[in-house]
Amino acid sequence: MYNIILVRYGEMTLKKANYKEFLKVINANIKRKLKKFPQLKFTNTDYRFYIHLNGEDYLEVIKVLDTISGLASYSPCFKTTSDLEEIGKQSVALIQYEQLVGKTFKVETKRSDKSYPLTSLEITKNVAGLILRDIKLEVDVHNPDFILNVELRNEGTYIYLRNYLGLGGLPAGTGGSGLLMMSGGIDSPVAGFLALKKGITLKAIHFASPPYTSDLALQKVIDLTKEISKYSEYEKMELLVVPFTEIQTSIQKDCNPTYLITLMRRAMYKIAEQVALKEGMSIIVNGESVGQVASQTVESMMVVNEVTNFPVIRPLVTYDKQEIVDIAKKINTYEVSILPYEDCCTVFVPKHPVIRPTVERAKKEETKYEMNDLIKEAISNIKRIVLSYNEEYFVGGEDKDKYEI
Amino acid sequence: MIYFDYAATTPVDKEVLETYIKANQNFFGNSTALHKLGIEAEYMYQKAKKEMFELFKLKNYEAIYTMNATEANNIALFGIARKSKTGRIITTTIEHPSVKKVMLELQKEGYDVVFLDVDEEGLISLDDLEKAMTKDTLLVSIIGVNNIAGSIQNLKEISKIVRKYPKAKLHVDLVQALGRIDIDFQDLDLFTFSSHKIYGLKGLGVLCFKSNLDLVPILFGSSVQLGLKPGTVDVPSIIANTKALKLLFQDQNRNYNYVKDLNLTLRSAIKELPILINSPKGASPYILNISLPNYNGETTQRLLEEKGFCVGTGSSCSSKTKEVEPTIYAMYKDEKRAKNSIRISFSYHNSKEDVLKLAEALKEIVHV
Repeated sequence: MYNIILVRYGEMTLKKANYKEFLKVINANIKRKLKKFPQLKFTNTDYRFYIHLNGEDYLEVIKVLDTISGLASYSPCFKTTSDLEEIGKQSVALIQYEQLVGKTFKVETKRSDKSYPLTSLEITKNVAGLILRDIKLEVDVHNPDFILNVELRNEGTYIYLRNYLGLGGLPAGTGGSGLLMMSGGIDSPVAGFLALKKGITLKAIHFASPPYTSDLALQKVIDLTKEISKYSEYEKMELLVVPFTEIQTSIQKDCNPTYLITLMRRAMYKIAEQVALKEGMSIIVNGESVGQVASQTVESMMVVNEVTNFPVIRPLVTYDKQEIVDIAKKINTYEVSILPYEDCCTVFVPKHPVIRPTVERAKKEETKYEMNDLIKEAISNIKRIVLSYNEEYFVGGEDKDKYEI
Repeated sequence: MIYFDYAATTPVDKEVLETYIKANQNFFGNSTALHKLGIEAEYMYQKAKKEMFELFKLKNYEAIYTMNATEANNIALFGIARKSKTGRIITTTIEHPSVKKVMLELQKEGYDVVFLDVDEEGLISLDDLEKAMTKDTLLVSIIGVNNIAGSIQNLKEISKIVRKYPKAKLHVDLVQALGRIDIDFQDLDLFTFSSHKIYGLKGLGVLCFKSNLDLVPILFGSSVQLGLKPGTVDVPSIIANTKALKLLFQDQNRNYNYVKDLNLTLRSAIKELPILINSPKGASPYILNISLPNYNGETTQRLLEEKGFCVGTGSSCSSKTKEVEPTIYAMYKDEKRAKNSIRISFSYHNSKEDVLKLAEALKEIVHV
């Protein structure tokens, strides 16, 4: 029934000087991500993008649009001529197609074709009349079950019933780059998603502690990274896996147990900073949220953050757990996140971690282990995994033929 | 021995068997285990399922892997029927025993089971179906390609009729249809098939159904396979099944034309003989059912065996009972014809030469 999807850009429309740049990127993003639908054709004006369906399933196309940051909303439309009888006929067909017969409705008309002989109000009245002539509906201008939108433009008339909300944010690839600290829990993928939504290009860094943590825990991180990579510009994301066992066991052996988490996180931040610098990234992103665990009190954040001058962006800092879970469910990461494998933060947990650590004490504890050497060694042994949303990746599954059927 | 009983079972394809052996070595872990071998097995199980649905061009369907199509049919039919305490169920007089016997059970449980009769083509009348449909119809179960005569039901139109009743679900036994004729799977709410009929392994049946259908279980145990078929999942067989499907779908059209030629060759070679052809013209070319004038089916089968041919009599699942072949009887209402029927079923493995040899043997048996 639908032959075109009308796509509306989001926040980027507020830009002035560099609007054209944003436009170029987002249009390229849309076309790239919709490549798997060979029949689609695209046209656009400065403020709207049109996807001509040519028989492709609009719901499948919308599923992809839902992963493109920078879009405000989209409506599947039937595009027809400006002939009133035709508009009436197609409106009836659309209402029947969407099984809305018997409901209350109103017609809203926009007329940008100023040469058209009737005013918007006249068109609305005429179209409503034509619809009511053919099917049973009731007009309710105050609280209708649905609105039939009619837009008369120079190139034709668009009729639509639904407005799907887009992801919002800014076009992928326009927001600089950052390094996401990825644990495998519920929060970090959500933080990553929110950063991606703002157009920030990400690489992820993960701290693994084999044999205390398993391949399965790493697989979980891979699956999560892959899942959020669909919001990125090229649906790809690199995952840098840092061997962290030596650092953790050294801290455990030589330092005060109440400071274990603090020291561990300081080491992680130091490594993240050096990796981010090396990879040419401008910020560190993580899933910390105030008060969630002992290491995420503001005092802890200060003491941990003290090791770096790099901006550490915490998109979830003020979110409640439930709000985070809701997003995780929406972006399909929740089910993976709650799989019960140990990660490096759950294996080495002291009974009574310090809740209000101090910088002086942390620094003093750090002198007790070979911090700098171990950090250097960990960085030089990072394993880089290139993940693509559309490609399976199995830990230890380098032999791809093994999984071919 | 020349084999003409491919509707009873098929020999496993060499590539499928290799896939199975490899899968048994690589993915023997229990798919519910949390260690790496378990996770790998689970991954392959999901992958095999996903790739199967890609072949069927289906989205939002679930699959349950069973022991065989009989078990799959049982899970499907009881699963839908028992969602309601009462209601109408519509089926045909030419179902495979794995549907027919379930229907008789459901009848005992108090469901209003309607058996639609077939014409000489082995087809139900769409008018009859329309008339039988009521707003409390729960289920319509119709065999896609009949296993005895090969008649192909008009699933498109049947589906259109059933769709008019939102409560009613359409189940189709595709055992003889899958990979042999074109099917629009999305017309069906549930369908079943068997791996060993498509050059896969014995011991695996498949039930596919729309994900939003909530089936009532008849087996109880773990929550594996949505709790509908609890127990350890046979991942290697499932992988081999997807392989078998891939091979079959890739060659479906070529095989169809090839087998059609074999079927026509046999039909024309026995045209002058006093043999009745029971399979209708529009039947699946994979099955040719005939009746000899002078012997019952079983005797003919033995006579052919002496001459080096394997053919079928009736449904192999009930060939040891002495009843009159119900499908042929339903079509022609002729007891002798039904009793004397044999089923010749073809494969791309058969050659034209084999078929001509079979025609010769039949000629000798009817003493012409």
